[in-house]
Amino acid sequence: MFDRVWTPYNFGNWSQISTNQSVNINNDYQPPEIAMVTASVPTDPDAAMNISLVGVERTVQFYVFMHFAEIQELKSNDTREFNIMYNNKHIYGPFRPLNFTTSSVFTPTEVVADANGQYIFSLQRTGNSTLPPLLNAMEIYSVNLLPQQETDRKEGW
Amino acid sequence: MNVILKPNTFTSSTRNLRSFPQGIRNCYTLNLTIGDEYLIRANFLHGGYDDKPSTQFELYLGPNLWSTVTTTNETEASIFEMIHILTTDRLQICLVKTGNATPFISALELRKLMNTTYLTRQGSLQTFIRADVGATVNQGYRFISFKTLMLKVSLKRLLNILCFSLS
Repeated sequence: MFDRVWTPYNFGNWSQISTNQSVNINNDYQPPEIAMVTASVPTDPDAAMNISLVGVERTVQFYVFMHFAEIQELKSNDTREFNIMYNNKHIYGPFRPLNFTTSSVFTPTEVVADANGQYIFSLQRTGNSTLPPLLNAMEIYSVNLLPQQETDRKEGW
Repeated sequence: MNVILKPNTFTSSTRNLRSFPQGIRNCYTLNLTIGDEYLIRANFLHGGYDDKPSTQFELYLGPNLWSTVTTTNETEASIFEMIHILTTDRLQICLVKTGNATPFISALELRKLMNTTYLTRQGSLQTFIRADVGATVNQGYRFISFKTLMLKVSLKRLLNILCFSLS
C-alpha cells in the first residue's frame, strides 16, 4: 500500500521463515502482505535479535516502526513472547504477535543515541516464551526538524 | 530544459529528466491542502544525458534543506523520501545549485498517507530504510507500481548511503 519501497534485508545470523497462508495486514500502516508472510528469527533460538544503526552522527534522531505477525502454526504448548528494548531500556512488551495478523509497534517519541553514540534495538524472548522473537518488517526514519517556517508568500526565494 | 535519455532498461519514470541550467534555485510548487500527510519521493538518475554524470546540488523542501544530492555516475539512481504533513496549502520542492553542477530531477512522486500514521512530536520523517526483514528474494521492490530494476539500482545506493547494519 501507499507505494512504499521495501528493501529486502537478510542477515547471516538470522534465519528466515515464511508461510503460504495469508496474513491480515489491515491495520493503519498496512505493510504489504508480501513482506508480512516472511519473517526473520534468530538462528540461535536463545539469542536476542539486535538491530544496530551504525555510521550515523549521534545527533540524528529516529522513529522506528516494526511490523509483526505470527506466521507459524503454534502448538498448544508453544508461546512466542518477547520484549522490545532500546539501548538496554524496556520500551514495549511483553508482546505476543497475533496469529497471521499484523501488529505494528512504533516509538511514540524520537529515539536518540546513548552516551556512546549507539542506537540498538533488541528483541528479547521472555522467560515464558518457548520460541525466539520474530520480526517481519521494519521502517526506520530520521527526523528532519524543518526549522524554517513555510510561508504563503507568492514570490519565490 | 527537457531531455530524453538514451533508450535503456530503466523504469519509465526515470527515462526522462528535467535539468535546470538556468538560475540558482528552481522549484516545483504544488497546491495541496494544509494538514494532509504525504510520502514525497524524489528520484535522480543522470542516465548520461550530458557528459557530466558527477553532480552535486541541494534538494529543499520549502525553505528547509532536505538533502544534498550527489550523483557519481550515469546509472546509479539516488532516491530520497520524506513523510511530511503540510503546514500550508502549498508544497515547494526546490533544486538549488551549489557549484558548477547543473541540478536535475528524474521523478517527483507524492502519495497521500493516512493522517493517523507516522506521527512525530516535531519534524518530518526521512526514510532511512524500509526493510522487508525475512525476504527470500534479494531485490528491492515497491507495491502497486512494480519497478524492480530501478529499485535494484536504488538498493545498492541505499546500502552505500545508509551504512546500516543488523546483527
